[in-house]
Amino acid sequence: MLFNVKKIILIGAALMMVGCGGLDPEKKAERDDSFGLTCNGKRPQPIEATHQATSENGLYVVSAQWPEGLVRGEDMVVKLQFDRQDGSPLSQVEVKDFKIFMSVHGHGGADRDQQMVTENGCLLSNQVLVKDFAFTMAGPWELKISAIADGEEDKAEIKVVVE
Amino acid sequence: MLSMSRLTLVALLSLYGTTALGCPCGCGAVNAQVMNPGESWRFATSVAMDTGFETIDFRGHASDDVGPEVKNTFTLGVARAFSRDFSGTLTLQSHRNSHSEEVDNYSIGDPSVSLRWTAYSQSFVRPYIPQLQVFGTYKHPVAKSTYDQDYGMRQMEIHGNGLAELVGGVDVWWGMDSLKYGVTQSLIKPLKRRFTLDSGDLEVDPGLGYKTSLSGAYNMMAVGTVLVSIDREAREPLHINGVKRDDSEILVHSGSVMGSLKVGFMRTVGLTYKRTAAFAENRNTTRAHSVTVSYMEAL
Repeated sequence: MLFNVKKIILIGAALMMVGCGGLDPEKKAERDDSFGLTCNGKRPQPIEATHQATSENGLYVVSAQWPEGLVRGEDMVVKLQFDRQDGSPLSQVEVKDFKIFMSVHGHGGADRDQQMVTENGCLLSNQVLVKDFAFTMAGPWELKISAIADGEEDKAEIKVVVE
Repeated sequence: MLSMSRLTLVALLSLYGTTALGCPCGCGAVNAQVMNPGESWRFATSVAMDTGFETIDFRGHASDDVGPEVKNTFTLGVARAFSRDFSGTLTLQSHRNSHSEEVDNYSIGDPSVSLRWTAYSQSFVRPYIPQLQVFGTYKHPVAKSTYDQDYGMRQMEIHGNGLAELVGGVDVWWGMDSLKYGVTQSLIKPLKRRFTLDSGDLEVDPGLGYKTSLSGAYNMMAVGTVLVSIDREAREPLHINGVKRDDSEILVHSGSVMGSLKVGFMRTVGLTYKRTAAFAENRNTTRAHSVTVSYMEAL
């Protein structure tokens, strides 16, 4: 009897693991959260955007949130979220390019080992985390973003002022 | 007869170039030295130390600069008289950037070639008519600039403004008395340049620059001179890839005090303190303290 209980638990656990692999990233993130494994035990949330821009052809609205603030001379982290213009979230987004530029001086940011994270258990499927880039001085900067949304690529530019 | 002490002073002053695009340490073109009558050659050298950098943004707000804490510039200028009224100067520079958390970075600076023509020499007969000189300078970009890539967080490798520059100017001086004064007006034309970067081509087309310098000096015969100068340098908006960039105008008001001392026959040493973005409104530039020691000898 005891053997059967163990067997059922093991089979159940295996099925759960297999099932996890088949979940879409959003549901997987939620599941990971339910185990308290990621995102500090919280579910991924829509971001509280401080900056926003609509893409050139209107395919998406990209919003930015700065979890560690917006400062110069330090490695930065920004969470980007892509939604349709009516506010509904895009189901899948691929960011092709992200770079920062200071057009009033005509130069880019410092060369760091910039990384783009698309899945870490704390991101919705329409969110991307970009980290390890740096603003080299105070003043107005642009985030130049190129992303594929609903199968089409479009560009957007978010303006920020670094203090 | 021209006042030699006045000319010596102006020659030393000419070791300092235009400020240009937020770079305070000899990034701009360096104008021609002034040669006294009878001189064939003139050699001038200086060492400058710039510290206390602050970035001034487009609104005029100042903030600490994350770049080098100290910038040193070594300048060597050689002037040659082609005739009594016409001379040329070649100026070479080297730079060092230092930061407490980084390894020092060295680079050759942008060389400048300059010509100066005396259109009218002042005389004791009519001392109210000033000396009038015209000068022209070309600066060639050699050193790495912010337009290049791979310059790092501290911008340690940046030693220039990345642009060729043409400068034309007029220098008007009254120098017959112990109290001397003058004005210099320059027009700066940076040349459009295309940079090829990993992220795509970048065509940089800075606007015209206008620099006005007002100077006054007191000369102690056979001893030396003290000179006070204020500058206003303005640049029109920048165009990037053909698009005019709002809020990219540059405005810099600087002030300097310089003392020169005769240390021998046609030999002079100088000490200068300069404060860039020192007063009034400043935009899109860098504020810094600059101390320069200079030496000049003529043949």
